Amino acid sequence: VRSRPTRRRALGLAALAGAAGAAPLLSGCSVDSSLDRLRPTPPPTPVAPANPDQPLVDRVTTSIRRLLPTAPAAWSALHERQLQALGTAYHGTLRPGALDHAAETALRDQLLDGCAAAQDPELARLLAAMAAGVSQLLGAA
Amino acid sequence: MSGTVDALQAVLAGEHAAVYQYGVLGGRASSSGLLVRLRTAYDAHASLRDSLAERLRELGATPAKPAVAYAIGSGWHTDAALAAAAASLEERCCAAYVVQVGAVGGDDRRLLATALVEAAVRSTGFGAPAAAFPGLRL
Repeated sequence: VRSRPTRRRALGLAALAGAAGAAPLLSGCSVDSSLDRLRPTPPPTPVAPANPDQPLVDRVTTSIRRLLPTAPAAWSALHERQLQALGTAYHGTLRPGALDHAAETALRDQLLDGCAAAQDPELARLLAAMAAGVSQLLGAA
Repeated sequence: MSGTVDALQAVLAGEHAAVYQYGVLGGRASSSGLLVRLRTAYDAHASLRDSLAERLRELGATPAKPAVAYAIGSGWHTDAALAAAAASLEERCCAAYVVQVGAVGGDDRRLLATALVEAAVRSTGFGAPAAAFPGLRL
């Protein structure tokens, strides 16, 4: 079982620490609430534009996560590197099994489709290279 | 459109070189097994060359012409050396394809991505090590 700290867990811990530290400050603010009414309302924080490729990335990472736990060792290593390149990671249990040739072929095709559909040229390059990496291992299997 | 034309012209120039070099490699191979693999690779690159030239004409561009000759390796005397040269050639093709994949869209991108996949498989067939991201340096 892998138990490396995940980014989500780290963010969650950071949020909890922030909330605990903020509690005394919040009670302090309520003492002089009349001053708060005089301060101008801060402008709303601008919302980051949605990444148009995010649904595509999510679909690809879901497929890789589905294959990774039971893939043979060389394949799980490949899929871990793929997830890292996509900005995520897998921390679950590995139970290496037989190669699912059909599923890996389907992933290769999904990566090629994703490459064709990606808005970001860098993502297109990455997905094409990932498809090529899967094909190399399929060719050797 | 000029970005697409430039990208396809760059890949076409590489295909001219690959076809030339596979011709030299094939002419020096002694084992029939290697000769078949070199011939298959030659055919693949010649096919891609022709597809690119046709696509460029569709786009109103004049396809890049091949050079008169291309540099060849100095140690291409044994089948092992020929296979290593072919593996290296395919790896360089992978790097060229992956650069241009992001510079084009639609069917052109799919054409180059498919070429990348096929070149990556050929490279390991000639003895190159498998890579997680053929053509990319991550």
